[in-house]
Amino acid sequence: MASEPGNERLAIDEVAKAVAGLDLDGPRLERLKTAVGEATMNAIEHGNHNRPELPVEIRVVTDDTDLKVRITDQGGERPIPEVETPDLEAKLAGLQTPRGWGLFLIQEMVDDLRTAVDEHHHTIELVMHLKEAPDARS
Amino acid sequence: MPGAEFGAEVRQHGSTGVIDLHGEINLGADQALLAAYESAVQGNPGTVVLNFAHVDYINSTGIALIVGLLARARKEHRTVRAFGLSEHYRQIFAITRLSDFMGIYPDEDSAVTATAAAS
Repeated sequence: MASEPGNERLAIDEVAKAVAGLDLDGPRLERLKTAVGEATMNAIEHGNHNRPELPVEIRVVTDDTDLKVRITDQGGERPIPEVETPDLEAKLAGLQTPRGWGLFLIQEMVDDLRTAVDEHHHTIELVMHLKEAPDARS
Repeated sequence: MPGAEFGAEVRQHGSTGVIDLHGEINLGADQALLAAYESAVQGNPGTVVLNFAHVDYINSTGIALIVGLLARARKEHRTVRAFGLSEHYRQIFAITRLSDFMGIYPDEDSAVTATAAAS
């Protein structure tokens, strides 16, 4: 899809359609949708710098146990940032920018988060277990 | 793909300013949310209540806008409370710890009553 602000909603809708037949209950589907939206928004803004001619590619892959959504942008030069827990007290005190929630939200929404880079591409893989272990989070 | 445009209307519930939010809370909501807050505090209420019942979508930028609004309210010694959040967004407010600083209530009456009791 084209790297235009707002297209993350299109990504959410398309992924939701693609996973409609899977065993993903309502709350977990909502979590996946939020993660897809945030990851796509990052790809558009930070990977492709809002340049519409640069595509964001989204692939949905499943196996017996996992659903994987791979979101790839053209920002291979971009280092993979570490996921940090935002300091809300510091933000409320005006000591930090209110922003900086995207990667943290993604990590909290999915069962596993993987990233990969090559010379030209940056890929984030969102993993949702289809058959959760009994002690897995709900 | 454009989503539902953000909007906000301000009204009074007793002495409490209530902001009815609707549509998507994303970067495009910035100015309208700020204007609604400024309208809601014109009478210098001690509490502002946010109604999320008709909000379809909140992204991380929207979370940042809410953090900014909450930061401003705290600086002005006002309380912010919220109601109408879906279960998903209640979870997100818990994960982000927004709910540690903003009372979350199931409906408007409980939010306003709690406000009155606390003020």
